[in-house]
Amino acid sequence: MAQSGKPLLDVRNLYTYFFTESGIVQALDGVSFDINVGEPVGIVGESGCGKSVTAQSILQILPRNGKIISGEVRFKGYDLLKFNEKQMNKVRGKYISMIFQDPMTSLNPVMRIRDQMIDVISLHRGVDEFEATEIAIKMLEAVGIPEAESRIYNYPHEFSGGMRQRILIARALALRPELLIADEPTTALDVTIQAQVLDIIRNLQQKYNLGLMLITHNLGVVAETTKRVHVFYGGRVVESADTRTIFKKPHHPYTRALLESIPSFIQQKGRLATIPGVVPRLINPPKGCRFHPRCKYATEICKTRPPVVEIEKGHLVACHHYDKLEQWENAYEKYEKPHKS
Amino acid sequence: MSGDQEYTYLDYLEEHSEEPLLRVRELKKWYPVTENTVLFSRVIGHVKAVDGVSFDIPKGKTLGLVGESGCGKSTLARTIVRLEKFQSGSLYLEDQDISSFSSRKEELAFRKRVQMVFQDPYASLNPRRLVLDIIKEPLDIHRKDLSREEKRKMVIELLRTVGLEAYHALRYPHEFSGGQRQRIGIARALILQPDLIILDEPVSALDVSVQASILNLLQDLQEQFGLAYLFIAHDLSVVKHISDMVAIMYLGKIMEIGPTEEVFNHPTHPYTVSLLSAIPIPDPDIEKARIILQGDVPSPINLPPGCRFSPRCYKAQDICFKEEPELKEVRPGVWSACHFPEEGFEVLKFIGLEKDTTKTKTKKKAKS
Ligand SMILES: Nc1ncnc2c1ncn2[C@@H]1O[C@H](COP(=O)(O)OP(=O)(O)OP(=O)(O)O)[C@@H](O)[C@H]1O
Ligand SMILES: Nc1ncnc2c1ncn2[C@@H]1O[C@H](COP(=O)(O)OP(=O)(O)O)[C@@H](O)[C@H]1O
Ligand code: SF4
Ligand code: SF4
Ligand SMILES: [Mg+2]
Ligand SMILES: [Mg+2]
Repeated sequence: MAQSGKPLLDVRNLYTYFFTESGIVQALDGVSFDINVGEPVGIVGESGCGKSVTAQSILQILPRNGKIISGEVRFKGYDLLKFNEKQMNKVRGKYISMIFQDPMTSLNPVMRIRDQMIDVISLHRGVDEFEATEIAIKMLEAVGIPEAESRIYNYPHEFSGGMRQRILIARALALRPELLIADEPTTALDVTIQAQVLDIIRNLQQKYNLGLMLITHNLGVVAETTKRVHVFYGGRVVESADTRTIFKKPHHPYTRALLESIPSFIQQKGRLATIPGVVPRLINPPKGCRFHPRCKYATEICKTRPPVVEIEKGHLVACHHYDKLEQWENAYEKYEKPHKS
Repeated sequence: MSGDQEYTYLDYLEEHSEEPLLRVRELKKWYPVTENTVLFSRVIGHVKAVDGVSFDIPKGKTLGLVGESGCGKSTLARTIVRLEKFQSGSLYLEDQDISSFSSRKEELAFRKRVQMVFQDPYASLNPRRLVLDIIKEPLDIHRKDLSREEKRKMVIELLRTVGLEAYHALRYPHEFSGGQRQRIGIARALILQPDLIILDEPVSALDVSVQASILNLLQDLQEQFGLAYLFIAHDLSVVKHISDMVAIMYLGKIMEIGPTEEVFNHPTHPYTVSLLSAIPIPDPDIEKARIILQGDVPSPINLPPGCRFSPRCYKAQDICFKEEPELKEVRPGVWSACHFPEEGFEVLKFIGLEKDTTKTKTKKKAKS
């Protein structure tokens, strides 16, 4: 893969399945993407497209019915899938941290914040309890918890949702990881609180030269926080490019449709563009290109799996008709759009 | 600031409202907060969930209601559809006083005209009932004059109106996607041909591609049936897209209200400005100036004295901590509850969406 920068994380052909009563869920169906050292990367897609399963697969924290079937998860060159549990524990504690959508579920309600922070810190950074507490307070201050020195002795319920999420960021970053995986970290928060939390994530990402894997379905959040984007659909990556390209020159039909369907704050759109049909279920996913039942450009060949093509340096697209889309889109603009409105 | 003769928002509403369908006046809904001891429980305060709210919704129009979590949006919605009692204020649907009903008949007449759609399409439909029965239920209560066959026909027609198929009538809710379930909820709300639908976060739980089709549907239905909406959402782009008027709520009170384009393009209240500057814009070329609000929404039990936004406001002065500002007309039709409203504020310039020579890249931080 032609990328500038050193890959920190390189996921290759990852297949993860869930074994359920109603059948096998092909949650990840050959997912490949990478994140460079110190690079903030966005993972976007609608619900059920495999974003969270990708994160769980990287850290090997899948629920019991989930299994990684094949593929590689290279972190700094090591294939994590070959690591044993002890080695993985070290990776999870020290090198890759994760924060989740709902901060309450990741905090123990009956333990003081201090006690939930210092164990991991003293273990992985090899310091005593006193020093660990100091580090924890520093981190809480860094994420903007006022009076951190005393509030570290509070319980989770004594904080608001936005503060809890900041506490989790503090805990995740206290170990100085090289990669932070944030799974919908602001989805449960109000816009003003979301802005606070994103501001903190952005600042710390730069300060610590952190690799960031930001999972979200909010395209605005991606545009403001990341430098590169991988677009997921139906358990696969359908397009990868730098953030500007994704928003200004999206190529894959799904990426384009997704961008068109969001109401814009800037220009008033009369009617929103919609994508017909629904997000595919992954028990019996559509054959070939998983977008074909909803794609306006689909032809017979789309019932086979499209290759991933690098159409420009660093811009990858998984579509059979990648070279004709531009032409078709222009024709569509000319002949169809005017009749629509 | 406290002249008795001042022209108030209530005066304005009386004068300006054309064909008001719903009139809400100084509505207050407080929840008691109790402390339980071994022997008894006593009231130690109140959550002022809705604390003196007034507005009109004209026939066939949409009022968007925006505000952070816990600011009282759902309480207001539930109170309007009369699922909750309230302390004071009044509510009128055209000429009918709906603050209390003198007979069951009166209440039924009201329920026929005002319907509600909830946020969570998963939780709001009875999983053990067929879609046919779910949509038909309001008819069973209100239209005893119709035969089974007539009701069935109406349901099928409505399913098509909301973009579903006739055969969907004989399925159960779990067989549908989130967007389809929201369509079922909308069909149910439509079946009595109401005049007003209260939509509490109707698209918040949906994927963007699905959200777009529901928003289009709501607009089509409004055109087709002349419906009025109270549209509650926290996504400001969605509210801007769908509303004629918008009300910005903070801790139980309306901070700013006016025509959508006016309020969103030239906000006057510092809270509106802060909200608008917090929206993430899906355009990486925009280097946004931002007002990042410090702190959280205070608890509605212990409201700060003076302006309830003062602890987080970037403009607060001494008077703000003492005197509570009432809604005042800042521009024709735009009312703002602030001692120092912004004038001539241009959102698009501020957040860098319009080319501007004085483009600021600095981040303005509110003091805490
Ligand atoms: N039954 C109740 N008893 C006591 N307090 C309540 C009750 N219902 C709501 N409240 C309180 O009233 C306030 C307003 O709540 P409401 O549900 O109306 O907020 P909202 O604006 O709809 O928020 P969200 O965006 O989270 O849906 C909150 O402080 C809430 O905790
Ligand atoms: N524990 C599980 N058991 C069965 N299927 C699962 C489980 N977790 C996730 N899936 C399925 O895997 C797919 C991807 O899910 P997920 O990664 O959670 O989506 P998202 O992109 O919204 O994070 C979905 O089809 C989902 O239903
Ligand atoms: S491969 Fe075919 S169906 Fe898939 S996105 Fe491309 S044109 Fe559409
Ligand atoms: S009254 Fe004062 S504190 Fe309240 S919004 Fe206006 S300037 Fe800010
Ligand atoms: Mg997820
Ligand atoms: Mg609510």
